[in-house]
Amino acid sequence: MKCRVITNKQLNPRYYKLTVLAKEIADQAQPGQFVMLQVNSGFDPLLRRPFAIHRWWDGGEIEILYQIAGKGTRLLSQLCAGAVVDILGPLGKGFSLPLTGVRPFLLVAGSIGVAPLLPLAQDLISKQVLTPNQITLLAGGKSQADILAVQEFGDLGVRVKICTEDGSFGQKGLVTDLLAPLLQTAPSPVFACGPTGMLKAVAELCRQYQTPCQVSLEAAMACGVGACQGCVVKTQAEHADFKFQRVCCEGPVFEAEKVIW
Amino acid sequence: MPPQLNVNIAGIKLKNPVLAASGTFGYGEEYSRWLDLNQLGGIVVKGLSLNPHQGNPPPRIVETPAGMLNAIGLENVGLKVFLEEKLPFLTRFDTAVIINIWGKEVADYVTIAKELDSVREIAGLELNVSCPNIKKGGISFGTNPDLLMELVQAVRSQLTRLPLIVKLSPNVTDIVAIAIAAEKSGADALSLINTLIGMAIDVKTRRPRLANITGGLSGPAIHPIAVRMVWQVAQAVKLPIIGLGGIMNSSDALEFIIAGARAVAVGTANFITPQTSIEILNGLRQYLVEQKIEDVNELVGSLAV
Repeated sequence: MKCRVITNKQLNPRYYKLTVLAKEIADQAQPGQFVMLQVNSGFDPLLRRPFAIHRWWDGGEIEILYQIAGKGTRLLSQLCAGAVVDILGPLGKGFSLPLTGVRPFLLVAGSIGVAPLLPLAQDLISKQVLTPNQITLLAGGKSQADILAVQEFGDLGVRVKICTEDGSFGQKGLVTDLLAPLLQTAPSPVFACGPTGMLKAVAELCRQYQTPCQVSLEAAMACGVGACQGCVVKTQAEHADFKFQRVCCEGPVFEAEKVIW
Repeated sequence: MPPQLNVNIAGIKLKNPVLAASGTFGYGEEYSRWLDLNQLGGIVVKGLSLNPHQGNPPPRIVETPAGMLNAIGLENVGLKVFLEEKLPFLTRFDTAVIINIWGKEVADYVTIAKELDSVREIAGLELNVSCPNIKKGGISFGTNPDLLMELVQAVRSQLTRLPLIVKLSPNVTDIVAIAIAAEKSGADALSLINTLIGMAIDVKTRRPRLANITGGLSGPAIHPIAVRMVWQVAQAVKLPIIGLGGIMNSSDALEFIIAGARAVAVGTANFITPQTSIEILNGLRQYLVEQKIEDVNELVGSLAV
């Protein structure tokens, strides 16, 4: 659907926040779902780009957090308020909310991976699965600029712990350095999104401490709707060594223990 | 009077000449949320093999200028699951269902063709000849006229009901020679072109961008090559032709028809805009009205040279 850009705000040299009016998408969106956005109608770049839905409102606005990663996102960053973009969505299977067994939940974000975790925190709180102080966000990145949306989590009343690889913000180190001691104290369900290497390390920690973990994966996609089978990930299969599942349909959120890393 | 859009591809009656191309439209159901499948002339289902096939490891796709490379590796659910779980959905729609079939040796093709020949809901078969023939050292069936003739004859002789469309590979020295071989060996129609083999490299890591190293190039980048090949083949054979390769809009589709294609198939464009086929159909209708052409068939092969 054609959507009007409301704002396209630069957060820091690498990251942007795009808000568009997309009522149908806002009405249906679930935490962890994504959209396929066409940055322009030309042939280069040709394909749509997948983005997690970061926030949405009853009025029909949806928000996307993005990083300048290449040609497509560079063009996207040049769009001004009033421009029209074509967006397909909401797509994919988001996070599954366990409604019973209230425990503290840990949300683990690697830089831009924070995007789908905000609506998850909002949903957990609004559906009264947890109170805000039962959720902790662990946000990691290379440097201070990679730590995003901390304010939004703070506004929800969620506890936030930060680390950066260069020590420019929060503790110096990897997000798994924050996660390991917490799991050691009290194994808690983990919801994670970030680079594959980080997710793999998070999945390994959760396996070690025997706690459930859902990961939101990223993959190059052509269609986003399950037709091209381009975005597959290797997962456990019952009667075979493995199977391929589509990140766009069976995911992007998978149980970490099912993924063959 | 609105222009007449029915076309006939070797007995397959299409209510309009716009098909969804194999491998770009899944089993139809993936796109039913986004467009009315009843409006399509037909759907060519993702390449089907006798047994389920897992396909290639990821990464399977990479974007290139005005195109994309894919090396999905023909992942599919296999004949049994297709007939039980996928075909019943497709048959709810008023659109021709064509099955693209493939195998690793002639016997594979023959078996699946025979099974599908008796399935009433299917309108035709499309033979994917771009796969390697494991009995002949992995040479693709579609690149050697003798191998192709052997395959087409073997499959054709098993069919009592279904028209056989042979989908030609562009990765050959002379596509006309291959088209003639297909015609001689009993093909009822031709579709062209399949993807062009390409490759992309990540210069930072010096690794190929696809796990399979090479992949098939599709998208608007290949359209002029496909139009040229359809035009050449249309001069050389009498068989009806389905033209495809990089169609993004109705003008792209019209080029194929004018070059000699009786129908067209939309591929990669489905990924970008699921409604592309409907937009193309509308554009086609409008063109015929503007050009005062009553029947789309009059346009087929009407290139003025």
